Amino acid sequence: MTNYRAQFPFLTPAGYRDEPYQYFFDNTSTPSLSLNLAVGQIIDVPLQIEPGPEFRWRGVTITPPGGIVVGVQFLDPVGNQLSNDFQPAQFFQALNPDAVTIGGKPGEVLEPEVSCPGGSVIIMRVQRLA
Amino acid sequence: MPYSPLLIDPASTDNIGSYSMAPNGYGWAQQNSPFVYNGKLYMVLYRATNAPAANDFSINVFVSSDKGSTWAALDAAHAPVRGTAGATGGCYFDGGHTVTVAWTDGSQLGATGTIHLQDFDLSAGVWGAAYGAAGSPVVNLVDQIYKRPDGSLIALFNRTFAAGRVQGLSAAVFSAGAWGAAFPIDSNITAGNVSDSRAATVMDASGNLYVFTRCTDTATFSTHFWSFQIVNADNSLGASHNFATTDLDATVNGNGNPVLIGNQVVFGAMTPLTGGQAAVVVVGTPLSAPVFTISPGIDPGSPFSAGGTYYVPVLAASATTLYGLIAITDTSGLNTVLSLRLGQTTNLANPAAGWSWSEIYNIASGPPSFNFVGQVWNNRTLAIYNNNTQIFVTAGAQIDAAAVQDTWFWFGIFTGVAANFSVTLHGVNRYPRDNSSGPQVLVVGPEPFRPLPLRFKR
Repeated sequence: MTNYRAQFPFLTPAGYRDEPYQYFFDNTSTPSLSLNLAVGQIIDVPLQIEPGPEFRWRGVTITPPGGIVVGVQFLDPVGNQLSNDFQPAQFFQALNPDAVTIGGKPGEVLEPEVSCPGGSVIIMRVQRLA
Repeated sequence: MPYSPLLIDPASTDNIGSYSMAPNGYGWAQQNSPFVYNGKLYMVLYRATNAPAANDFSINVFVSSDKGSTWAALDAAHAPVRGTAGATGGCYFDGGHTVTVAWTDGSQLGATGTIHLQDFDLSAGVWGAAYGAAGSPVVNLVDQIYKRPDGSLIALFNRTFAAGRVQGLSAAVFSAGAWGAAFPIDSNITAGNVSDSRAATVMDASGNLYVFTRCTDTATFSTHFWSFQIVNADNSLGASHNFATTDLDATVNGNGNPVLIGNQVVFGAMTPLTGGQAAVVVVGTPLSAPVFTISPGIDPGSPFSAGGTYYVPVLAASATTLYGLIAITDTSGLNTVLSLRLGQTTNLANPAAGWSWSEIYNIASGPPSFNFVGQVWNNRTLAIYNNNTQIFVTAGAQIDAAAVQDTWFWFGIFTGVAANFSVTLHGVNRYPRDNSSGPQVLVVGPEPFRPLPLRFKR
């Protein structure tokens, strides 16, 4: 059985143009990404979208912290959870062969894309798993 | 272990240590520390030593600009100096830039003294002049000092010294440069009993104080229980409650200050040995006249048997989470085991439920310089800062090493080991085509749907 996948999942509507864009967050721009968690502890990390054009969020990669295992759960700008539970951050790890062996893939593609109005906030919930 | 200790004042010799001004028994209770001002961490500590050659009873404000990795005393030359090692006091950070310290030159061992007040200006990093001694109540110890919304100060202290011990709990207000008359705040305690002058307190935004105090019978001083009292902003006594001796253990030290969560006052405590001793939280609601419930054990998964010297949770709350810290001294084995357990619940509507715990420090895996024979936990505080995401734990240990007869201390702050990570969001910025900024891009894809015009002809 083949899962249905739209041929043009990221269509640009008439009257608009899309420019590839990336937001990068680390502890220099987002202090909360300097984790200091006990096992089981949960924090919410706000990821701020710049004021201006709408950002069409289509994927995410994470460089996980060393020494501890964390899970992440994203909430879109209107508060919808993009996963039912915390997913190991390694699942979102870019260019890491291990990501495949533990069931993930390099980065994570979001289909459908998530509309993030300028100035909106994506919440990344982080839980230390081990 | 995500948390590891470091010395606040590594330059101190073994005979000069520091106590935390932490909520712990006689005096020194304050809001939990460290606290944040202008992006830096601050702690108010007092030094104590019995070594004749190196007496130092000063109260120091320490600052850290690197998230607690290193600390330095500010304006130590003008720091208050208590009279003896047994002298106690409290401090209060007003949330602006002023820390007010109250201490006494009296002693809980019998000598009476007055209350001295002194402000530390965090913006300038300097101590002001001492004040408040004139007209002060006569005290043996000072528990806490609070600054009310009207700018007045209210201090809690013992009322008497009798039968070889401090007794009773009183308060007095320092306003417009003068002390008001002292008034008892333990008069609703069950007849035949008296406060042992210890108090764990919290103030609300209106200046009302919520006071938990330990009580003992005045006949034999052998029966202990907890009592609760509201001291209203106008100094009248509000609702009160006497817990039964079978409700909570009132023989151990270390109960931290209660916290206010919505319309609830929450207090960390321990059930008595006869009741299958366990760490619990006591929840009282509504604030105006609390009816108290005692939770089930909140850390049932602890590998340590309850009854350790300090198996009492110290609480701290953020806007979303209630945290608890339990410091365990397990002397059941040949070697004393020191452990710190950190718990949390996000069930703020019912803080008695939803707790999860983990061990954040065990002396067996700690640095060797923090591992001494016979040491026990002394004081600890729990604080949350920086967008509610980080927790600092401070702790000390009393060491009675055979080679050193003096009681001495090391003092450390337990900082989390930060683990950095980064997140990249991939996507596109979408512009209207008539936006003149940026290049025009050819969009490849199917033609947008254009409905054909319908033409009708009869």
